[in-house]
Amino acid sequence: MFNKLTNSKGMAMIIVIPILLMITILGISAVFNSNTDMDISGSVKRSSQAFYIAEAGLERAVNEYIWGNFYDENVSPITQPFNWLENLDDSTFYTDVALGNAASYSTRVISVVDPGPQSPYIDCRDVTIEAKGNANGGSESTTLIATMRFGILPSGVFDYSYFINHFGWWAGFSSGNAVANGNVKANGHFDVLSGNFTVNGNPRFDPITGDVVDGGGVYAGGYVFPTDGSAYQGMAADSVNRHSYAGADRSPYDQAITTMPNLNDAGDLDGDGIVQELNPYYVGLANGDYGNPAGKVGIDSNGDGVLQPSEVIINGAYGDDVGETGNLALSGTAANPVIIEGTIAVTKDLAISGIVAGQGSFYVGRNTYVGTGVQYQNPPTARPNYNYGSESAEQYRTRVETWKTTNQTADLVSFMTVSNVVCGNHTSSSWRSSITGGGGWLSDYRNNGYEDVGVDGVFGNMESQSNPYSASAKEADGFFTVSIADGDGNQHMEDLPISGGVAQVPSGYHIVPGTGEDVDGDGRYGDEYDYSRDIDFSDAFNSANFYNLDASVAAYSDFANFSVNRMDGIFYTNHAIAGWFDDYCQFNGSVVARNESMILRGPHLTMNHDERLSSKYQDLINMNIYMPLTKSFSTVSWEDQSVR
Amino acid sequence: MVKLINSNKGISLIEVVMAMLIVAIGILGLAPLMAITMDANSFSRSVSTANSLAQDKIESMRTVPSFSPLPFVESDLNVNNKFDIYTTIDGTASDASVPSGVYRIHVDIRWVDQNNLPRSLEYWTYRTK
Repeated sequence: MFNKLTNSKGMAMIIVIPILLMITILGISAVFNSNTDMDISGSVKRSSQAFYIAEAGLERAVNEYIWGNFYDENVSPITQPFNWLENLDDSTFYTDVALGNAASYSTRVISVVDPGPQSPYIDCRDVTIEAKGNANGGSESTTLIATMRFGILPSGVFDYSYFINHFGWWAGFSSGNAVANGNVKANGHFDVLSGNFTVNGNPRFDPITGDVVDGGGVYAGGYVFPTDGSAYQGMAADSVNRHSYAGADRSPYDQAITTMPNLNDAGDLDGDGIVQELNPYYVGLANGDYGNPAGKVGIDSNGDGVLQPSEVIINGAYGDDVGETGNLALSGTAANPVIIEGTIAVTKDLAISGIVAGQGSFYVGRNTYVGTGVQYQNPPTARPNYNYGSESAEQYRTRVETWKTTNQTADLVSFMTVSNVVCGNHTSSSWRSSITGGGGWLSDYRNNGYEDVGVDGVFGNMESQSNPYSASAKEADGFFTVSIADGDGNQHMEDLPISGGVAQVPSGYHIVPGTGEDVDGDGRYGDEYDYSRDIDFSDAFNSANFYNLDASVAAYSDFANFSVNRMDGIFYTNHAIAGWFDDYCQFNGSVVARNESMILRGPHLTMNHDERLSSKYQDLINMNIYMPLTKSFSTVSWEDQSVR
Repeated sequence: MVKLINSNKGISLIEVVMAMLIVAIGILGLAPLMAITMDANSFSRSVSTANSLAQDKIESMRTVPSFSPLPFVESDLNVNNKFDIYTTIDGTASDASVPSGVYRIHVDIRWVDQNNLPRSLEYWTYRTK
């Protein structure tokens, strides 16, 4: 033993083996380490793939399925627009749907609850969705729980002094002669072709949070032309106040586009096969069917400023009962104004002139004819214009709120019109020759609401800055390109062949109104629409056909002037606001058109936005004003519940 | 102590040399393993970097208000002297298989590893329009 101990032979072995052992352990642990690193980096990769795929499942369910169907199912805000949503409870949309080759998603609805009225919605439902993402080749997964709120709310188009859903044009005004006090917007391009246009806009505020959205100005779903801004005056002369959303897809999904309301009976709720007529919802609204007070309108014959029961001409809707022609004429003077209280529905034409008072809305099934002009008897005080550059958005808001409170009871009347707002005497040949005649502005294919204008739904190319007048995808291709949906809510875009002026819809499908090339939102190919015909009265203008028209009126020229001098009110149309306007004609309220708006005579024009329209819906209801509604959705909560 | 050292034949130079030789051979045997480990480390570092580059790219694509025209294609080449990032955004306008209401975002990160092998990582998601 001792001998062996003192013998140093084999010492090398003894020393070398532990060293080798140490090196081996180090080596193996390095391998393990890097293996773990590999695992971690692979896991991180799969986790993020799973996360993004879960988001994909969520986004698809919300945007394509739920929102697409919610938008389609309820063309108008009828009393129960949420049946479809409520039936979604506990349904599964997608199970292990792959996107790319690395991961797949599954999406289902956990619950649908009614949270009660939540600003800015009048009515809404909270849909809670679970979206799971699974990465291939690993156990990594992501579970997202999101609650989305789908609801109906006042349409944002009335937040503008001038709004057009199509290509917006201005031309020929010299410096300072065309003035918009309030923001302006076109969902297509906004183009000042020649001359100048002054925009004195004001900050916009988020209806939910009250935060400042932006500083206001001019907005376009395409580009604001000219892009160097040389034609703009007022705050729009600053490029930050010219907002271009080129590239927006113009679908109801696109937040850059302000969704138009739709007064048509596009879903044919009354089942009569006619879609170019007033949605029955508005008739019900006028009759007080939805828990709201029924409307009334009349002439203040005794001049006491109050609508006495004996002075009432129409209660609620006119034209919905047997024996009613559906045409109404109203003419007011300073001593005996027209007084409106609440909602009035007129199923065909409304002819109106002169002084009006009160607060309420006309819903008109065909055209609104403005004879000499419409002027408030008790107008609000001068609009609070934004002091651009010297006033903060907060200071402006305070002023606006004060102004609204002061003017709560001042006159406010809206003219919600399915077809056209016709201003001045359209029966005059010189009126027609420049507006609806052969070379007239509304016969121009760029303005006439022609419906083979491409998937962007607007004449011209909304994505092109260099050539905005060129054709966009599928423009003038002979097909009606729209979204079609089957009964199960599956939607897709399709090129429908047009045969004999009618788009051929595959059986079992219907056109989703307002999508793609459906410019006027009636869910049909628009060959049946013709300004030269549809701008005329549906029945001859006489006291037999027009209720309340004075029997002494022999011709429309006895009721209307060639051009109108004043436009107080909120004017909305699914087609055009067309007519001649006197020099220095003012628009006080809001001007909203789908296709085309205004033809002018005098060199001066002012549009003043009525800021009461950017109020909360309930404030307007308190004024007995029921505005057209649209739909939207927003995120309530979003949570990543994955356990890692 | 002094006696002990004197009497000890000790570890001869040859033994030391032999020991070193054996250790060296041992290390040599482990060398390929080390090379693999280094490769693997480098790969996982690349994957991690690529992963965060992809996340950055997707998040930045989420903040773009809209894309025009579609498909929107973007290439960022030689990022960090190594990665090529190919981003493609599609919508219904460019690809009918994309659900309506969303953009499809595809981020493809490619690089060449130290052994000259092409590597890639792909991420797909949808985004609200």
